[in-house]
Amino acid sequence: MADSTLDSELFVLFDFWPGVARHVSPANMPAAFTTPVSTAVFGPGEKICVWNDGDTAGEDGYATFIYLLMGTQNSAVAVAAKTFCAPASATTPFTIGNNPDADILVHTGSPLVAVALSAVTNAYWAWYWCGGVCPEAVVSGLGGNYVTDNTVAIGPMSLTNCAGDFMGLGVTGATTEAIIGMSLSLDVA
Amino acid sequence: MADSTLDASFLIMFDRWPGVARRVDFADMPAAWLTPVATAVHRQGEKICVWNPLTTTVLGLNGWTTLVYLKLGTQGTTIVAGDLVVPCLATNPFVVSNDQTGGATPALDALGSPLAAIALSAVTNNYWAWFFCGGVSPVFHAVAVGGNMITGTADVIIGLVCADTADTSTNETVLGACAAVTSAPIGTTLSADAT
Repeated sequence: MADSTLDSELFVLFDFWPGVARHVSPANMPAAFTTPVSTAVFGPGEKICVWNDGDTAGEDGYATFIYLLMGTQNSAVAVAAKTFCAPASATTPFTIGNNPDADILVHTGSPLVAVALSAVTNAYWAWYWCGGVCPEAVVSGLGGNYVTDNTVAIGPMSLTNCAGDFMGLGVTGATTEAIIGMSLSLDVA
Repeated sequence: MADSTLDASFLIMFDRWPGVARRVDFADMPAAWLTPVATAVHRQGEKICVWNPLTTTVLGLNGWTTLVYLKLGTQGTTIVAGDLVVPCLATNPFVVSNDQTGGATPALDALGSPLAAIALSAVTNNYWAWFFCGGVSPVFHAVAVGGNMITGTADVIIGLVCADTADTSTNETVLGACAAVTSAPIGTTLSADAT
């Protein structure tokens, strides 16, 4: 089935990553938080929760970010803003990738999901969107269409392997697929 | 099979609403927090977490309870304390309803909705109110939530519960058994429903 898309304002993500996010105001976000770095400046899995101002972009509501390490990204589809990632190491959940076929862990149905804020170099640390409404007022590159597998219906969604060589959103299709978000709409197709 | 009921004291809800709840002492709860208002006095989706004590006069469970600030769209059956609501607008997850069909803003699709909340009192259409969304039932703080909550046609058994639809003419969203992979568990119950 051909892939499809779902607008950033039509779904919310559920955060199942370890720990409790710290509340921060948009004015107190970490400096240069959208710029990945080679040496971590926060602990693995650090989380922050920030208000997304709908007057600026997107939906009013809280969003959660998490600090993760990019492993080896898919050579065929580079990580960019809005790319879905999931754990890609058998030794730590905080090292992630975007390759639905070649990474160590099975991505379809992964309960741990993160969305890149920008392009990320392999082995670089970065903040990722992992819960709540889309923080497109905080990171403008997150607004717009997210890839789906053309099965999204109103209600629960899971991470799935799309026809392209990347991960996207799809309807929950098996008991082994974690529900990682709720869609308020069908995808566009 | 007719609808049934589940004592609110047996329900523990899973909170999936966006953001992190602020922990508050009961003494620091928002003023008049049980009274819905026409104009929001908190941010949509704001969450607070408060301890629910068990007393000899109010049944329930010792534990933390989480409340979320939501707007009621257009209700179907008149909402009372203990009624389940789910999102009803494609443009805003924080506007909710208990109406399955026919209303100005019926539930998008209550069956299996991962986002659900329970009213603490009667709520006027288009009013903002705090709703129970996580942890133990806040029956100490909102006594009216205590007692029987409606469950659907599929018998609720000990374990996971989902948002469901009733088989009666009430046409409202209720608690039900989880019957499909597309039904998100919204809580767990320590008891089967009454039937």
